[in-house]
Amino acid sequence: MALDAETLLIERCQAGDPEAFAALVRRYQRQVYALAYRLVGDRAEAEDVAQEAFLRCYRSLARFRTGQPFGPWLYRIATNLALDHLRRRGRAAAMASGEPPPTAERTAGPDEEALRREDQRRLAAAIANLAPEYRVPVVLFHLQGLPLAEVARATGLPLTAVKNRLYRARKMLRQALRDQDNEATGRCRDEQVPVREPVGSLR
Amino acid sequence: MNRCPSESQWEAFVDGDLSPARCRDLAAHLAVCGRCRSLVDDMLALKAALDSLTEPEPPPTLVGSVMGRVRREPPPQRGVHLRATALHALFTAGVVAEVAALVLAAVGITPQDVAGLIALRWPGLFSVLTGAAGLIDALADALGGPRGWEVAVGILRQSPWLWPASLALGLGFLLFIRRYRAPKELG
Repeated sequence: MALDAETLLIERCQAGDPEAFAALVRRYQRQVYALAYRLVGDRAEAEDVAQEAFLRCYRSLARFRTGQPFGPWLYRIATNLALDHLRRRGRAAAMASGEPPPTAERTAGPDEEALRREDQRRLAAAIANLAPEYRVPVVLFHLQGLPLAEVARATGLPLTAVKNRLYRARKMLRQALRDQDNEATGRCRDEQVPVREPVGSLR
Repeated sequence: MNRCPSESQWEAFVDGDLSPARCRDLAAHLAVCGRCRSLVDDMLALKAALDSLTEPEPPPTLVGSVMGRVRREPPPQRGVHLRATALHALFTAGVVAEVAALVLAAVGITPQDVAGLIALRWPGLFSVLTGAAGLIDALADALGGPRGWEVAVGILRQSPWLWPASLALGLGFLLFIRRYRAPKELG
């Protein structure tokens, strides 16, 4: 049903109705902005990339065949723009600060919230340190929640290549988090600070 | 199962990307192998952490900024694309036909040979083609012009440059049409 509504919106856009396109932007803005943010690592730049992705999408809508999944097509545009942006900027290791993104969610208590934010910060930093070809499948599969087949469509890669990159990326993430844990444990021991449960194993 | 499965097998297991039979095999191995159990626990924990990673909220101005730019754009040009596709198909068909005609002429196959072959292998198609050819010839007779193949051969003899020119035109159009293809693949 949702897909039908989306198809109608796309057809209205193709007929030149800008309000239908506004509805599409509202529907996908979270995913496209989050994807751009995870890939370029900066809020202002992510907004530029997201804007440009929607604009390119609008210009190319005439060529979009309704009935195909719209999301992966749009993510592919956004992904390519973000990667072009990274290449232009000349630093693939974006988001080195690994700053936690602003969120609307505030449910846990202060301590629990602080720990959760710290875990998220470390995980986000580990993702940001992956090379773009490994970061993209992680972002699309885990953070955007796309099935593997749609990740393949969104990246233009064969399914086996997507799986291989995803597996390697997760292995690198596990290793990076273990290293962070070891480093934190060593630092705490040196400073005689009580050590909290390691999160590198994320257990 | 005595040997431990590979890490990629376990990754596929964690993603639920294996057949039920293979899943059962791996689950049975997990029950007896502490090393693999530890690896899979790590994988599951990472997967859970990734799936629960909070995503950033888009800025409230995003939709307005996009729509401000969209409203300055011309509406989507579907007609241009359809015309481009039709021209692309036409040029491609033309190039294929020209190449086929040149190859047939080069190896000395006459139209009569081709007609004989078609009549032998595909009599139904032969009837359709002769019917169409008859129609074209009748039209040519009515207009007082030459018949069927003679038209094509006559043009080729009088203006042989038409072939490379139209080939170049087709190639140029193929290059132009590349602009209309989907975004490039990831590196």
